[in-house]
Amino acid sequence: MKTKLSAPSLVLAAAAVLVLSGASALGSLGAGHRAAAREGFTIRGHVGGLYPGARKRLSLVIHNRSARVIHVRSITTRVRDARRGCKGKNVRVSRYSGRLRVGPRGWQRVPVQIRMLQAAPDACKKAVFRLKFHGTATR
Amino acid sequence: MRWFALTVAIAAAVAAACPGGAVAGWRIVASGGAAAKAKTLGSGNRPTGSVSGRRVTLTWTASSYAEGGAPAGYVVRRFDAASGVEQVVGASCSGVINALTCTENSVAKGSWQYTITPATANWRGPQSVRSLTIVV
Repeated sequence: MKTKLSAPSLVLAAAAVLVLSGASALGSLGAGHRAAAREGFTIRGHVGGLYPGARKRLSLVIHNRSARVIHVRSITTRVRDARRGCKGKNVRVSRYSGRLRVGPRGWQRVPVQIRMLQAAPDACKKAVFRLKFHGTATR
Repeated sequence: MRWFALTVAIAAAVAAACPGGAVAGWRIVASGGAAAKAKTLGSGNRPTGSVSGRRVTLTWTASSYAEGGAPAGYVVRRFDAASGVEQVVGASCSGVINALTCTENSVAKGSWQYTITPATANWRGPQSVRSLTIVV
């Protein structure tokens, strides 16, 4: 059987599709933000004693803020410039990749390696490098 | 009524295909901050010297980082005691010395003062105060 739709009907239909899908997307986005706030995890870690050629163990502390078990899959670190003449690229942090189980509202430690390049300039003495972590996890 | 059913079906399909909710549901992203601190290189210690003919032997005590640990080596510098002008140090004491002593051979006659600067790769600590004048 052939269905014949009038032009106004088509316009109305298209508008309805857009409104419904847009609302759905916004709803998902809102839910995503709420989920991130409620179910996210935090990464912390400090280290000192860097000098040219030094390799140190940086112990990252993972805190699962959610009420469900999560599995941390990856952690990458971005090193910010310390000051003029002392770029962040003089410090390298290894990437974590695996499947670390963190219980509900629990804590876990992840060791990664941090090193200062032998070529780090004199301007890096006493420098403080800000580290920015980025991690992903699954349930 | 048919077009309405069609509309609802399409909207449902689009909503289901929207990835936002699905990703937030099982993949969690976290971020955080921290800091990494570099060491502070301590100053050099004043050297002492002894003369034997035209050979000057210098000794000094080890420097350290403020946080502990020793620098990789030391840079020796020689100055004219009267004018303060820096001189070129002989080969055996030039560059970064990985010891607490060095002997400069064939030193020109004159009055000299030496300093010690801690060094690790490109890092240099504060220079020591000048040694007592050494007469060759």
